[in-house]
Amino acid sequence: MRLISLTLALAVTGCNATVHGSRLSNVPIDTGGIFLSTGGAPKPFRSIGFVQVRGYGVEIAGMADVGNSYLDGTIRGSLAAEAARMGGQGVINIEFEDENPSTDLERAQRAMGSFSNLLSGRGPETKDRYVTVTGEVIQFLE
Amino acid sequence: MRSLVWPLILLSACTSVEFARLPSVGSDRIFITQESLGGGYESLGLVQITRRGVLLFGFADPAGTDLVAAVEQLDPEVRLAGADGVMNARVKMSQYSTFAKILGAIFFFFPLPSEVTITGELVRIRQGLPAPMTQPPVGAPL
Repeated sequence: MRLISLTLALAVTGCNATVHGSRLSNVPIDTGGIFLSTGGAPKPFRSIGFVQVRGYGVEIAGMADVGNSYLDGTIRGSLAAEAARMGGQGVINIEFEDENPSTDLERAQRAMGSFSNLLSGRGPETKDRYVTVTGEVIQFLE
Repeated sequence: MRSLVWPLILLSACTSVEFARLPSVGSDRIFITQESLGGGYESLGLVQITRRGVLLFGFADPAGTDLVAAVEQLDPEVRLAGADGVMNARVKMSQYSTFAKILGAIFFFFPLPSEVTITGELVRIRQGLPAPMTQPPVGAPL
């Protein structure tokens, strides 16, 4: 009976997570720096390679994220830096996925668990976090 | 001939179909497309919606982990960001065949985990530039 109640509670509660990342590049291009887009290139280009970055971080006590598991840090940091290192001027067709975002409910549970752990002299609960980003590195021909 | 009946029945239960209609019609409708925009646009950021839950008795989805629920949740995110829509949307979701759902109904004490994720780039169409072509004009050859 308890198992059924737990299952029902889990099912009805539902777990939703929304993740946001900051702006990429506009079209037509109006700023300098590496061109970043989930779409194609606005000008003729040649492809010079592909890059994939898997950012890793740790969520501590359901409240703080440390490491590189943010979309922004992975795209604007690691992905753009790697593209520049390859001699690229942009990354197009970017695909991204926050592999295991925590819902509010999960964060609350982890925070309560951590509080309980701290009272009994143990460390806070942690969760490994991963963000994967892939893209095509390009050079513009104009 | 009779020996073919059971394989045919089992094979017919191997396909699962999911679909979602776009959220609204009218003058303030948003667009969600898996394509890039042909015209100019302003990037307003990245968004990822993840919904997690379980399928009770193999078929009941009280947490709303299907395409329809995910698209409905994406709608307010687009409006909140002041965007006209989402381009390069990517969808990933767990799907179970009818056969697996029947097994889930029989072994109801092991609910089936279910998850749907939509990612995309929030964009605002730039004034004075051609609108995105999300579907071919009526009567045009495909």
